Amino acid sequence: MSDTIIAKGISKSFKRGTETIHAIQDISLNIGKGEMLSIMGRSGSGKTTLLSCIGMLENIDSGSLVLEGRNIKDLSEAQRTILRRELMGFVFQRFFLIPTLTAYENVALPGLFAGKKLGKDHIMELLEMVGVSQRYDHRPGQMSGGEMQRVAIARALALDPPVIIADEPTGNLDTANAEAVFGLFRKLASQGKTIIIATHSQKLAKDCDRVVELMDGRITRDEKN
Amino acid sequence: MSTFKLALRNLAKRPMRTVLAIATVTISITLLLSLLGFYFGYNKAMKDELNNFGVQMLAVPKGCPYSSTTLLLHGGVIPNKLPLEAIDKIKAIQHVKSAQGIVMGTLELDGVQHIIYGISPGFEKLRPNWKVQGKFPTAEGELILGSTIAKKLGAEIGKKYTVIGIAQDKKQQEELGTYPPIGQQVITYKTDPRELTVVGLLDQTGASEDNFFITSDSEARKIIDLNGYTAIAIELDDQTGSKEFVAVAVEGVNDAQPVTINQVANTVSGLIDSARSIMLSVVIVAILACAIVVAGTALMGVIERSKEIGMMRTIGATPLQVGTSVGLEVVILTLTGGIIGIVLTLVLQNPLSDLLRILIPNAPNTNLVSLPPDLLLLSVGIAVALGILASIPPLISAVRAPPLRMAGS
Ligand SMILES: Nc1ncnc2c1ncn2[C@@H]1O[C@H](COP(=O)(O)OP(=O)(O)OP(=O)(O)O)[C@@H](O)[C@H]1O
Ligand SMILES: [Mg+2]
Repeated sequence: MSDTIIAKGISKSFKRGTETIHAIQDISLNIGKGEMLSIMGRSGSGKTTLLSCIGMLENIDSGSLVLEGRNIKDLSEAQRTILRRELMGFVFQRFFLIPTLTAYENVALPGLFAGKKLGKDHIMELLEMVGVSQRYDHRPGQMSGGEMQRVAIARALALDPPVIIADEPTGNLDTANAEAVFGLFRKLASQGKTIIIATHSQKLAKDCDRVVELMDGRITRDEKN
Repeated sequence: MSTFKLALRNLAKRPMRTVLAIATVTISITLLLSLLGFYFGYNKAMKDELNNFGVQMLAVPKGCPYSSTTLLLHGGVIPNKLPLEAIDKIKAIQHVKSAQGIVMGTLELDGVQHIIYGISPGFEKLRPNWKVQGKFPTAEGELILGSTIAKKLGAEIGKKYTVIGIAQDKKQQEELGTYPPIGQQVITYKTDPRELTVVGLLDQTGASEDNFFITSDSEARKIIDLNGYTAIAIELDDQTGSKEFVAVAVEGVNDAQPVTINQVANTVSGLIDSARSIMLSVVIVAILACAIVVAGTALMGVIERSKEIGMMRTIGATPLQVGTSVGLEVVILTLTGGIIGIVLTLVLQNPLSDLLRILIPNAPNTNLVSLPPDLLLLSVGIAVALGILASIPPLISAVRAPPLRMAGS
């Protein structure tokens, strides 16, 4: 079976004034199903840019990207949005829950966009799995950072995507919560989900199957643990 | 979870801002409805009143403008007269079925001024909607009262009132004519008191005559010391061309000028139509200003939420879905404002009509603000259209918001 994500020589640069910043350069990376991979590197090394490109949040300048057998080059913007919601769940450092919606409603939101009504049982099951089911009726403002991130993970799982992309998901959490979140990712990977996490934490990266390190937009290390 | 619920939550998040935006819409829709309601109501009331007039033509003194003809309908003093013999001359014109002299003027009872309306036999044809308890005044000294004034005076059949007429000074009339130059005061004097006995009470008609003192024409002439008629109402036969024929003939009768009821109706409509364009511009400006305010408010909301919107794009919302949610928010806002505006106008309908009656001389007595269902429906439509218009800027901004990149700062 072929890999879930196949990136070949992808590059992305940004213009800042007259200066061109090569955020990632010539990156080739294959990620298999059920793999839990961490991306490390100094600030500005290109972690977020790489995740954004893989998640189709940013268009690549060159190279090719094949997601679950589909070359994204052939897709329109609308088709990419649809593919994104089928394939990917996103977890942000700052959670980005909608403050006016309850935990339950935040998890239900991807269903609204996908035009699928998610069952009550399904949503409660997800909240249960991440350990915040008792908080289902609370708004983000009434929850702790750890709880908000769990709700965000439940939201990422709402449409049961094969890939979870998380950018510094523990950046705003204390050690205990950070470990709990990684534990959750571990569990999801064992269920066959592909997990890609950008992190600054050496310790947490060790829990992953594989560590990729970036420097100045290039891969300098790619090791299995 | 639904787009509607999402929109409601966003509106509820900033209650003050939402309430202000709704209030703006409420004000402009109330303005729109009141002005249009007045336009339709006034027009209809005037037409109804003219339609109740049972004759097709009036002969009025020459130089007497149409506005005086409306005075004749509503009560007021036309300071001019047609000589007594004019009535026989008009009756002699071919195609004239009947002619009645009308005398109108001002009298005083216990220091309060009222309108006196003198009628001659056959008057029933002029106002088929008049219902009199008792009898029409035929002899001198007989009086019937309009329903409002009768109630005010506590009048009943048999009661007697002593009235004093107000007449124009004869010398001034000779020197300056009955239309003294503008700025020149009309010199009047009071006539000798006359005693009138109530012989009938007029049922309410909803028009000006509810406040009239009505006597025979000869009695009215004595009260206001007028040796002539204020106007002569002419009933025509229904042969084609009668109107044109009689109009020409009336011109030849002692200083008389023909005015058809249609002409009066057209003059009234013309006056209202010219007012309409002013009203419409006021309404359009108000609606546009409101659209700008609402659009600005909504745009501010979208800019504030650009991260949130970007996040929704990231987790799978298409630009169209994001736009729909923003547009829905704006339409909910304007629709709510519109409906409150409609309710408010319905509540204000009667007080507004009373206020307008004070401001507009000679206004009909029926409700001046008419709010038919189709007008209310139109306002709902305008509120929605306003919402769609106002949602364009925030919608563009929302649709353009890119998906949120990852962590970032
Ligand atoms: N939209 C953008 N416009 C201009 N430059 C950008 C943009 N996004 C990223 N960059 C630049 O690209 C480079 C890589 O940025 P990126 O955010 O991918 O780094 P990172 O490894 O995620 O850093 P951090 O650990 O601080 O999150 C940086 O030099 C950054 O300034
Ligand atoms: Mg980053």
